[in-house]
Amino acid sequence: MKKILLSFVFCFLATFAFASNSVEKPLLQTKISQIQGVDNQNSSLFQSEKNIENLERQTIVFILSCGIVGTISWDDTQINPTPAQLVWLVLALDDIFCG
Amino acid sequence: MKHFIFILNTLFVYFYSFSQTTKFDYKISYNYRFQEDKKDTNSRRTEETLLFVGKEISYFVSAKKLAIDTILQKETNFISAMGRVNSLPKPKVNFEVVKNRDSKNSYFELVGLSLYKVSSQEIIDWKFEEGTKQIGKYTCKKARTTFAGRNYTAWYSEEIPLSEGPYKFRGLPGLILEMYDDRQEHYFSLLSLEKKTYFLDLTHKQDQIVELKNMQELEQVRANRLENLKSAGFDIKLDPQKEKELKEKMRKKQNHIEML
Repeated sequence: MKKILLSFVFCFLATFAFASNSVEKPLLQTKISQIQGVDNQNSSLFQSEKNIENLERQTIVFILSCGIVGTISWDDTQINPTPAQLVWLVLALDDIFCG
Repeated sequence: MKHFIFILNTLFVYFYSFSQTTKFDYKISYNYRFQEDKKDTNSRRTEETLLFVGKEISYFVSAKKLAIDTILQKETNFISAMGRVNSLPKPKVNFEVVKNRDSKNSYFELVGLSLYKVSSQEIIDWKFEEGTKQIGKYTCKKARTTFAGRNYTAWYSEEIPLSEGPYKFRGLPGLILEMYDDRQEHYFSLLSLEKKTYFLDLTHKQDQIVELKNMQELEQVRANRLENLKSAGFDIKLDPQKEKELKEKMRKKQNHIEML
């Protein structure tokens, strides 16, 4: 009975690990390409999500108004910036690069 | 009884929300033209700045920055905040000045993730000169001063009895309508004047303030902004060539009002 239970847990974990690698990675790429597509018509764009490599790490993918792509990531167990701080950070980068 | 508690609660919320705001009686709008790179006249930019004048304090801020701050005070989600901000024009002037009636100034500037505050007490020594100039419907008189490494000419009107002006400037017997330094790298000119009551919430500035002793310390912070972000735990990834260009651009954009 214990063996069956252990096998079940192992299968569950393996499926979960496979899913997080195979589903989230293309999803991230898709989001970036979507942003790039929109960026041609609009100005700066952004995306915020949990990084796929480390779930503790928060990442913002940004595209500045002049088309430069970059990322800002941080460990949100260590620092916890407010939305306002992050907005001003992206605006500051936009100003320095594209201003 | 329930109705009474509800009314009491509503009144409390109403008065509490007003107690967070500061009342201003005038809004003066200036066009601010500034040259970011001292060596390049093509680096001149313009932005609308606002001076709010109240009984106790005056508040000088970029109109675009104020619009964004107003949105960010209410937003709690980054994506939604960025979405709303993205549709607005981006500010180039990211400093604010709060002036108390006792000649104390508080200068605020956003660098990286922190809001830096430099407190100072400045009494501007004006020299009155001959000459008048008509600005709109107001007759203006001339005064000159030296402030933080630059010589300035100010045109003020005694027809507007406000001893105020843009940035940290004040102390003349009338409102400053136009002001510029000798090289015209920082140029303020009046756009409009409104006598109307405004309530502004300035309390958000108490959130993440880093107090500095003087503008020289702020200059250090400005010069090391990328390094400061990295040491705070942020990892900014950009194309290496772009990062090099960024540092070069940052080095050039150092022609601030106060020369240090």
